Amino acid sequence: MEIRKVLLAEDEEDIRKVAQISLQFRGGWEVVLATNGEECLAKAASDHPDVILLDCMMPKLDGYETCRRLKLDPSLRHIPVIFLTAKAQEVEVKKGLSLGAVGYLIKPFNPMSLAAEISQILEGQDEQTE
Amino acid sequence: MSPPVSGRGETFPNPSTDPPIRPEFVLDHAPNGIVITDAEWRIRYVNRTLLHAIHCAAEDLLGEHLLVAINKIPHHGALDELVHCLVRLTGSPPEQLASRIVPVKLPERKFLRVHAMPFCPPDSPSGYYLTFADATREGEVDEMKSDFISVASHEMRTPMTSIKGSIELLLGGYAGELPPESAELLGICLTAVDRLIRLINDLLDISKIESGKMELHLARLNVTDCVRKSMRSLRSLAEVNNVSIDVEQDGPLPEVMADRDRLEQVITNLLSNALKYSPPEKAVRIHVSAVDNSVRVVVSDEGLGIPPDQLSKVFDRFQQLSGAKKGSGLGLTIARALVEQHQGRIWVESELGRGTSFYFAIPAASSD
Repeated sequence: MEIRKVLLAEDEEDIRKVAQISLQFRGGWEVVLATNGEECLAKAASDHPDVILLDCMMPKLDGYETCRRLKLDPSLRHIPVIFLTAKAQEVEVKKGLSLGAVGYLIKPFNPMSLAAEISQILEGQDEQTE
Repeated sequence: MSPPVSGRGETFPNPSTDPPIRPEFVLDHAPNGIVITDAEWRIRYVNRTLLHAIHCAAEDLLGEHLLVAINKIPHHGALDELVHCLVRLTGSPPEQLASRIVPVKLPERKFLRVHAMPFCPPDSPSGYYLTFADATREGEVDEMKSDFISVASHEMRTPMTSIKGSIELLLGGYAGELPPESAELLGICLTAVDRLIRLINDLLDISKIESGKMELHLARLNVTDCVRKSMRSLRSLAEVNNVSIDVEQDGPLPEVMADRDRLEQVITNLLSNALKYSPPEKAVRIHVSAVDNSVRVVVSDEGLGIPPDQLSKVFDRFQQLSGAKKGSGLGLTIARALVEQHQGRIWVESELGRGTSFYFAIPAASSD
């Protein structure tokens, strides 16, 4: 699948900025930002992103619950979700994959390869569905 | 201090009038619990202080193995940590007995310092001498310290991530091509940040382990697979240090019940330690074998070796030997804690000028 627009949900301002630059610079993608799970749900509905990048620990609604709600919504459930997580939460994320996410990326991420890793996860996904 | 005097101006006890205090009485009323066992850890003596604390009669415990005896105390899980501590203790070689602080609920929360040492009385078979002392204050302070480290590390990790990412973007050409001087300095920043992130991760791991919050996700697995994965992750370090890694497996191995990530972490820590201390153009050897219903891994280097007086301290926090190359000083501490969480055992043998071997063994999974 071709990516044009990414929705990035991350509560830490600095990390959000670095990830945003990285996705624009290396992926050439449009980046829509959300600072918590609730905002992420709203922007998923209004901005029609091609993929959602979700931090696990966020105020209001954490990444897991946000993912669960995205997958319950018939109009949003087709959007692939990728978790962005600190190493320490890796195991929780493996559980989180059962909520319907297609992959996870470990923080600290390398901004030079983040976009490529996202593409790779989604290509793997395309092969599975073919 | 002058000797105490009785009313008659003589020192006492006066052997003719005051009976001497029996040593058993002194032991029985010591402020700490005392247990003496034979060489097979069967109890030969328990002092009254301890019997009183655990509400047991001496005749219930005498002659029993330490681990059988502790299970006779009605504790409903409140002594689990103490049981684990004694399991480890009774499995340790006599020269590597160490003192530990363990939390117990009696029913109020307390900490005990458990100390064991070889005991060789004259005219009597040798065995072990154990003391159980109240270390509640020490344990609580230690807990506060762990909590602080945990919170502080979490708070440090987020800005570290942003610093690292920004440097990588600059080095990657986001702001245009950099003059070589700038690139070199940013390269130094990146190496330093990477090191800080590793240190923070180690601190987080150790505080999690020490506060009992490290959960293991156990599955049946093959130890050699973990060894190979750790080797791959350290290949570049081995190349930089010009050290080769040889792996050898003796015969078929039983599977173990272990947390894959954590077992790899143990092996990675031991292996990176060996690579750091190995002289160039030598080999670090990893030997995996089945021994006594467990799987044993030995990681050996041909480095300088560890002086005997430092051998018992190598697993302690922030112990770095002279000549150590950049590390957090926590790798071996984490390795020991993780192995013990797997009900395993870790130890070290070293010969000056010949090299060092780190061993660990974890129980084989049951065959069903």
